[in-house]
Amino acid sequence: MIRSALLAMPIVLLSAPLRAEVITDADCTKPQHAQMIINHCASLDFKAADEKLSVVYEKTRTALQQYKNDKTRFEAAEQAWLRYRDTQCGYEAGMYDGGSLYSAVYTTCAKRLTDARIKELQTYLACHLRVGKCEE
Amino acid sequence: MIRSFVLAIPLVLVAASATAGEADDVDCNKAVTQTDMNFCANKDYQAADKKLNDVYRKVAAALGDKNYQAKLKAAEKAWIGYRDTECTFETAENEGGSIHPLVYSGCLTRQTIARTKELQAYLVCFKDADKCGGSQ
Repeated sequence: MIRSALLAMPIVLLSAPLRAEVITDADCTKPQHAQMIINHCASLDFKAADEKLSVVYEKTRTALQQYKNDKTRFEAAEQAWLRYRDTQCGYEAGMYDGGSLYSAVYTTCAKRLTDARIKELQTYLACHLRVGKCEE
Repeated sequence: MIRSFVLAIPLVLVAASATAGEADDVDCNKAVTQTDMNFCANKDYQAADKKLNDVYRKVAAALGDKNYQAKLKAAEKAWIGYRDTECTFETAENEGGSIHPLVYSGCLTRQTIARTKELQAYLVCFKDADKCGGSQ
């Protein structure tokens, strides 16, 4: 299964609040105080991490091409991870439900989990498939 | 661990594990047979799992609010799904081998320790939102 298809929904949902108030000139490299800009920058951070994860995901799928059983289990693991990411971040942002902080807390959580997942897949690639240096 | 090397091991160890007895009195500092190593890896996992359960209960109690507790429960359920499918994937190359229980327990332990840290970190956030709220 293609990962981008799985991810399509959360991305649409996360970016929906931005459509109402289009932000094009925010400098996310500087500390921001307006909640709308904080939300926007957190969303950009998550999207960058998510794109990186998609690349590592495809790289892993390709590396597993000759191991059909492992590849099937990998795809199942990624779906389970996505469910974990979404419910965990729903929980972490839960205390801000309905508030202006919700979006930033949710996407910050999603970015943190995505960074950890990238590391996990990179370790697998290096230590099980000799793609990169294994430091386990 | 290198894939081809790992695949070779189970064949050698099957004979050893077949003759080993029940592992109740195993000294896990000196485990040598595959059965003993499997037993000890599972023991490590049980200890990590017990710690996670303790932390989980502590977090659930600290949340108080039922709606929020339900979100934690959903996140934990999704995490368990991820843990199991991820470990099934990561150890797929050893499926059917006598080393499989060892590597599977090792994966569960690693995931469980990470989850314990995650819940502990969020407990800090919940008690003092300023420490890691929107700008985490």
